[in-house]
Amino acid sequence: MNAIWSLVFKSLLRNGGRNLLQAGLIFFAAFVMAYFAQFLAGVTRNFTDNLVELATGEIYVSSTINKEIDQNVFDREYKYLRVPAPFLNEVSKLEGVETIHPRIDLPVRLNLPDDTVTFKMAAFNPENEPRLVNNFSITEGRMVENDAFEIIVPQDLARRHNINVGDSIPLLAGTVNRRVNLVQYTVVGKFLTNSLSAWFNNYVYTSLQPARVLLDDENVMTRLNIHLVEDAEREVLMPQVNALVAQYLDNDSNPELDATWWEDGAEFFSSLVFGIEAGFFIIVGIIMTILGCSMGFATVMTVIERTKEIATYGALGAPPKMIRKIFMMENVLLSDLSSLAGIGIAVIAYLLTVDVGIPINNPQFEAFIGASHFYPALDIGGFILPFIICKLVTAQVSFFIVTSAAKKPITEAIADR
Amino acid sequence: MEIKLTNVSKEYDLGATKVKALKDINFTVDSHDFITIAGPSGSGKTTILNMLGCLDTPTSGIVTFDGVDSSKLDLKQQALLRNEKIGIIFQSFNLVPVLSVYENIELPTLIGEKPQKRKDTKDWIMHLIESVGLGDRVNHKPEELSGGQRQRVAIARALVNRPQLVLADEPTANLDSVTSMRILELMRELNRNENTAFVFSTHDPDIIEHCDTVVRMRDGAILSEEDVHQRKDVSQTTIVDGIAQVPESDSENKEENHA
Ligand SMILES: Nc1ncnc2c1ncn2[C@@H]1O[C@H](COP(=O)(O)OP(=O)(O)OP(=O)(O)O)[C@@H](O)[C@H]1O
Ligand SMILES: [Mg+2]
Repeated sequence: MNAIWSLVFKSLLRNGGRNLLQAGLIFFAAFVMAYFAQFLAGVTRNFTDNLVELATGEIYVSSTINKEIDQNVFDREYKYLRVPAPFLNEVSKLEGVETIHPRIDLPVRLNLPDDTVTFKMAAFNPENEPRLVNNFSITEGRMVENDAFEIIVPQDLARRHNINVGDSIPLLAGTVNRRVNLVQYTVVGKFLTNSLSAWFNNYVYTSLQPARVLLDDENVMTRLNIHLVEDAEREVLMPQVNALVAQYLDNDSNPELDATWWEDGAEFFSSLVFGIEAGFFIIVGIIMTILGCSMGFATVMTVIERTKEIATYGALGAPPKMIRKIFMMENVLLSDLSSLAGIGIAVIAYLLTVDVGIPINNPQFEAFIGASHFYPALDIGGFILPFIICKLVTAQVSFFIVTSAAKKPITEAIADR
Repeated sequence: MEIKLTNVSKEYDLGATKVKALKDINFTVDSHDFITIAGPSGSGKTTILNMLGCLDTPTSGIVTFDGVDSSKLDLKQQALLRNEKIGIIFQSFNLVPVLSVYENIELPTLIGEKPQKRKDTKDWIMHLIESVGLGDRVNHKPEELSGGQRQRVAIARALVNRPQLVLADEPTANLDSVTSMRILELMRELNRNENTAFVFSTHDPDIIEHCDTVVRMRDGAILSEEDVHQRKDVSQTTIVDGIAQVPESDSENKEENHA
């Protein structure tokens, strides 16, 4: 068998120019497929998985946020929900509801010794939301505790403004009643979040109660995430939640408030993910078509050029199957080597981009995820699949052509005419 | 081993005209035969060798190999028959350009039903290479060889699977007489020791001299089939025979020199 492989290898080297072109094409196809697959995975993980994780609820009730994005965050008019305790109580008791996770999201001013920084603050109760806590990596200090006047700050912000763990910082915010309130918080930790939840870095965090004090309202929140049990039914639950919303929450500042099913709220992302996926498959489709055609063309050329050689194998007693095998091995070897090379480069390219990220040049998009860069995510299958696809396409095409070539009468092929 | 052509005809249909390459040929090759097919260019020598080698099928008539009608064999069986029992030396050698001398000769041992893994295969190949005088060209590629050297590779390749029948289309056409004789001796040796049958087509009088039987062809038909040694003995006495035969072979050679 080794001798046949060596024959195959030598034949490949002989048609150097064309095979190189061929190899280049397969290389490119494998590279593009493998690399894009990582982006597809990044899309899914960044936007879908991670947002579900962050929302930690399949249903949410959210105050409408002022859409004027250009406006300074602090000056935006936030609409807060004033959620009475009976509402929370009744929602928790609905069949299919596992837990509820209130969130408060507000603009604050950090009065630092030599500067004033406008930033966003988010509040949740860490002790009740371990999944959300998992998204933080505390680099110094610790996570805030429920009900304590503590904040954690992004490492980057701390570095820029020389904020240290243990510092006491006055925070300024507009209350629900449109007055300005000032509350003293202690910095208990600095954090980093990974690329997948980079927008975490745009917030300082505290727990719910201190945020309510700052906003001067015991019932305030901006969003209620409702986490359901595994097999909860949307059709049943949504009307029940909405009935409670209508009963307790509709008021002048939030007219016609409705609960939102998570996936609907993320419609922008769903269509974006769909768009990227569609783009990916169109690219793959085009590449595979070109690859298939050129592979076919190259095999036809090879077979025409080498009819005499094929006939010689036949005359020397190679059964048609063997002849097919030899030529198939050539194509498969070519395809394997080049697609492996393409995938190898894709791995390197992936490792490079996963660190650096790709800048997002869409303001709407950027505002929504609060991150300026997009990152691919590792998808092992995305590295293996292109190899298999390239192999299948080349094998299919060459099988078809070589089979027909092997049927040519030997005497005609061998004659010197 | 016995190959038998019974009433074999071969026609090529060229649209307007039909070329009759073989006309109603009856011909048998047995083990230890050492036969030459002589005849002018276009007389059907290659065509008849193709029939014997199961490379081509007759338009009419039957080719049997050891009693088996070769038209009843499928492509694979025909291929394996060639691989195991028949060695073929082509008029234009048909070496595989990317392979070295050694690898070209090794090829038939690899492409059959199962690749042979006999330990002595290597020694046998080296022996063949030495016998055809290419001991110093083992790793050369065909393009680095002269015409005669390529032909010798083709000869060694035809012998490598120890076939029962070797078909050779003008095997010494590109060789000097010394090399021709050396190769002829090698073939003779195999013919005697291993009962290998040889069928050549040739223009070379030396080869004709060294064969047992000469088959003379013209226009796709067999004119005569004669025993060379017998002719040598008899030509002194049977004058009529001698006169009838000799001028014909002369005219043949002239014709070919012009061609
Ligand atoms: N594929 C073919 N198509 C048409 N005619 C053919 C074909 N092969 C052979 N012939 C014809 O058949 C006849 C016999 O050809 P063949 O090759 O057997 O001659 P040959 O005796 O081997 O000649 P040479 O000494 O030149 O090799 C010739 O007239 C040739 O033109
Ligand atoms: Mg010929």
